[in-house]
Amino acid sequence: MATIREENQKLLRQPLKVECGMSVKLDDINEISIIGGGYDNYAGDVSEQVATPIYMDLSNGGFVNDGFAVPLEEEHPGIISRIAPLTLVVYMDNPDEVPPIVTIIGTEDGVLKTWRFTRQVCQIPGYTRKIITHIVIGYAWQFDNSNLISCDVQLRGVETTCDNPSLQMSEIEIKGYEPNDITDVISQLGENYPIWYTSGYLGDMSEIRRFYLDGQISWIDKVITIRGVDATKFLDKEFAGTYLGNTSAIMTGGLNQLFDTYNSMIASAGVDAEYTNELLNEAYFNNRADAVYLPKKSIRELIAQASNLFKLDETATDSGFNMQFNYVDAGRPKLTISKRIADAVETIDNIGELEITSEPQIKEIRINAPLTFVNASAAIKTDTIQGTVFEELSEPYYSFTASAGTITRLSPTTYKLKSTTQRSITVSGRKIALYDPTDDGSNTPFIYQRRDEYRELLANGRTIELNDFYGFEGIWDTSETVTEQLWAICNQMAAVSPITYKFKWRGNPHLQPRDHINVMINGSAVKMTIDTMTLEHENGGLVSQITARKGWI
Amino acid sequence: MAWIEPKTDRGDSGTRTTATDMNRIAGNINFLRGTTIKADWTDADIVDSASWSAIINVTNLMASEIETEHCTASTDFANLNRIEQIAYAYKNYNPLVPRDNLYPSETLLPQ
Repeated sequence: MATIREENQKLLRQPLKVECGMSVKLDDINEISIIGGGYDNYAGDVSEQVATPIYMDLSNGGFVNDGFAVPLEEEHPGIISRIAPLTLVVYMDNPDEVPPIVTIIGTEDGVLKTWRFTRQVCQIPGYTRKIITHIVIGYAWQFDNSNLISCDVQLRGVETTCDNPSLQMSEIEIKGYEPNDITDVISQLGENYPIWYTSGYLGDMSEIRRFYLDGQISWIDKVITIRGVDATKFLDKEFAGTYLGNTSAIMTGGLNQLFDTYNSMIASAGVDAEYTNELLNEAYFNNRADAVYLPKKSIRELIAQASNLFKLDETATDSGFNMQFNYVDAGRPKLTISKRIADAVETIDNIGELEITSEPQIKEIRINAPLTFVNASAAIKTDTIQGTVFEELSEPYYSFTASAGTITRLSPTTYKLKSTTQRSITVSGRKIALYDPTDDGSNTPFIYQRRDEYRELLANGRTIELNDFYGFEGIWDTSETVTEQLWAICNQMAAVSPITYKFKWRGNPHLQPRDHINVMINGSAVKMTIDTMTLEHENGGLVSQITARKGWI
Repeated sequence: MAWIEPKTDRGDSGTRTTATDMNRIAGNINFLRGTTIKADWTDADIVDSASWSAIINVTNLMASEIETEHCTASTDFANLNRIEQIAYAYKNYNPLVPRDNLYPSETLLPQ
């Protein structure tokens, strides 16, 4: 059996199999009955569009000995006919109601076919074997190499840049042969109907990628054009914002709650998120900063932030973790806490022309976050200080400066606090002294000292501003250290390579954005992380273009 | 059912397996092992999972007994050749051939 990786090594690759389609459900089917011509009268699930199966069918000259035919299971998907006309009755909730349009998709002697009826009793004529894979009250189109003209897929996720990355939508455009005049039909259709796509070789097909109709279908010169975007379309919904504290007796650590919060956040937008946390290490989380503030903004923006917040740690052992977003179904967010398996990395060679670009190095990362102060001994929190003692006169922010990819300096801005006792304090430099007048009047200061490591700033570089970023409680604690997490985040950002690549190659539809790859350049393997990937299918061929960033992010 | 000379020369993945082929494969296994695997396939049938599993499993039992390479459940031409080769080898396997390579009609002279 052919596999994508094996065929990609050959000078002449076998044509890829592409299957895709769209289903427009106008109403629910209550029941489907086989009243004639059924092979075993088993009416399997035909509600979802699927790729066409190949069985060890002895009709029509027998099955081809290419390894793709499989035996028939006792309970199999779809409806199979004898070598005879197949007659089905499609019932709606009201059994007397006549369905306005019934579309039946399947194969006839192995060839993809579509049948349409405007009645309950649907008779598919011909002394041939029919395998029905999808029935809908409504319309459906399905394409394979026999009727597909072209299929272009653009897979995107969260950009790999550190500079306020965004979560981009993936897109698909299908052009196929439709001989019937569907002008009236498409003028009445809405949006968001499900579209699906898969490609590869039988036995090595890509995961089903799912999209949703976006914009109107066109039909010109018997060619139907269908365009769709992925499920991230629905993630523009705003999240209300929340403050996660380590208060749960069951869940340990703010990051644990963050993980679960993201899952419920995505689900609230009506998008099924897949998530796994198989390497969740409670002891590890116990040591982490245990308060996280998620600001009020769209779910799409929050996912984009988190994707670059929790970066891959290549050295992570089983006691470590990588909390990262991957994308399945061409964009349905998948949140995982897991260790990356290096053996699964694809090695790509024989690439086309290579473009290399470089962004300016990061010299400074400014995090504009809510400022919180905690004095562990006195347990006084920010709101108490701010509400009763001080009034902020300017926006404070944390600033980390980077040199040669490492964080070397912590330098808060100069800001002013005015006490309610009408005392002004200007805070800058190495110390902050805060006075609490609710004490016994002695005005004992709480003194916080920061690191004082300073190196020359890079002469040329860019400043990244992260607004409404996560706030971490305990940043200014009496142990005089910045929380490990915030340093780690900034170290990770500063360490991300500014080098990006763009190239064309033969393509592998198993890959998706954020996958790690090794690309052979001048005989050496260069580690890269996929940013975007296009798949252009025509006449069984495939050309793919990849943009990627250096390093495994 | 009588033994039918197996087909072991499928040349490429463009060949096809018909009802006649399935009846020969299953029939030969039944002949050799006394099993009752379905061997009356017609052009209207689809090979079911239970029958195919039975063919593979019994074929591999025979392969084990004669200590030869097993087959798989694949429907590619090479594996179909292998299934029929095992049946042929099993039928012609004679464990009673003496170690000194005498023909069956020959006997050792008393020493």
